[in-house]
Amino acid sequence: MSVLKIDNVSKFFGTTRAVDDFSLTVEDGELVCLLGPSGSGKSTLLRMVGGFAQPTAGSITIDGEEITRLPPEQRPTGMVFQSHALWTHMNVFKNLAFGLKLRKLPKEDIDRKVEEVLELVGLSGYGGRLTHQLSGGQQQRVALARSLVLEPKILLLDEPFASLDQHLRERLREEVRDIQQRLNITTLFVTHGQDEALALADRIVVMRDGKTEQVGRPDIVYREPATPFVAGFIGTMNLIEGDVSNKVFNRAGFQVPLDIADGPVTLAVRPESLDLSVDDKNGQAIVHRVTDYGTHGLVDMDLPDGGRLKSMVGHPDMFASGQSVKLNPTAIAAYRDQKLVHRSQ
Amino acid sequence: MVTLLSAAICLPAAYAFARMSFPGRNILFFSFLAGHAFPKFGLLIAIAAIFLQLNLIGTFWGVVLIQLVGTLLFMIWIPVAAFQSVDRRMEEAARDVGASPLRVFWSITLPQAGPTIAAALLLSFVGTFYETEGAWLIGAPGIRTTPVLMISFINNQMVVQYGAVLSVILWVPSFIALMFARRVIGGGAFARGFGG
Repeated sequence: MSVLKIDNVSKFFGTTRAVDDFSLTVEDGELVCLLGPSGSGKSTLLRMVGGFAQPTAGSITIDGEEITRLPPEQRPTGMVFQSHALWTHMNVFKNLAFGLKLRKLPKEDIDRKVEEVLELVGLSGYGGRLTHQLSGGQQQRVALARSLVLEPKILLLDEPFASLDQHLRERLREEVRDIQQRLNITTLFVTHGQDEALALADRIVVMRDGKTEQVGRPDIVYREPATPFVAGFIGTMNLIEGDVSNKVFNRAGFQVPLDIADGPVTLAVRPESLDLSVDDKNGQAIVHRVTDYGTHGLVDMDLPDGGRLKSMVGHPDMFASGQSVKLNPTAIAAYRDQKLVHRSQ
Repeated sequence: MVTLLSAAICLPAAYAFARMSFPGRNILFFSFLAGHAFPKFGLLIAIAAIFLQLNLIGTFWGVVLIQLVGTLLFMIWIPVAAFQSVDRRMEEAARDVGASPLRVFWSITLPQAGPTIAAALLLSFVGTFYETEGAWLIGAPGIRTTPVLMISFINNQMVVQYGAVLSVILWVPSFIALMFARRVIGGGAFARGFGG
């Protein structure tokens, strides 16, 4: 049972607020992703949990025990760094055994634990290898094993797959998820990759300028983004600025019934929720480009005023550049003053 | 002796320059260049005048001190670069698995910076071993280092072979040091640290 509680934590660098009054509870065995663009404060927050940065205000507790001011070596946390940070002057075994030796465990226990964790990450028999003899994926597995071998209460992952290629990243994130679930270890994961967050997390915390934009299950955050920022950051989203007049949204001839008060509004439509039909007479947009991805196609269109929209289509061969198309959104959300004011079901 | 003393004094200082921020850091760091910014012999004369007042002329410690000054540049500047190039994340990873700051320095930072520091030690040793001007000016007449002895043999002895034999003997320590360096500081060691 390990619960991480972050209470009203702030971190200032001079006058810059890197993390601003942030609160979060990560339940036992839960994997929470901190997701946000560069400079959103997610890594600073993780470093504060790991003990590598001190909060300016607030408190951090693990299982009710205050750790806010403890140095990293006294915290029950294990951190996996983006750059692996393996000790290149030691072989794999020594990298994993270093922390166990500091705990003054008997040699037999160290050998056993190292072998067990190497097996867990699929690197049995690699103990004698030097770290530079391993591939990027193997190095990241060793970095993960180095943290896991000490059985930390909280596992902290700081963009661990950022330096790996796409294929390897997808495979490793599945392995990490399997291991995390098998060990039932409470995990805080930092990433700026939305795919990673959607695939891995029990809950996603979307951060912006050191603050929480939205917290929720990945499917909820994807389908029901609370702010235009979340809508634009998670997945691909058409964000269309326009005006509502007499319960109709209008932007350069693209009109959608919208039951809200008159005024400026941002309409959000996912490409998969924007149906197209070729219409030479009453078309609302002109096809700019059609991209065929095999399983589906993506159609880029221009509104008469130059606004760009995307639509996901099942049969991209039905469309061609220069065609006039009619737009039919099947699910929309509308935001005003950064707040959600309408969502169709 | 000078190299060991220099390492004991300079390495902690180099680590402080590399990792810590304190008032006057940059000025102090560049001050180690000062000793090499003036004609050496003129500087030695000025230092000799000070040493005379301190009764260090003709003493063992006087020679050690003057040669120590000559090593400061190598033993501060090169190790600073070595410590700065050690990935901080490696040090943080060591803290994360339970190592105290001192243990991190001993087990991670020093081995990572080791090959470069070994190069600095080697340069310092060779530079000190063959240094003659300071040793002659401060050590005379009581203390004479081997190179000083060699020069006096070459200049003053009728039998020039003494000087030749001595110069051959002098070649041996630096050759051994270079062979040792070749073994310890192998190709790529500067990038990976010792054992890599």
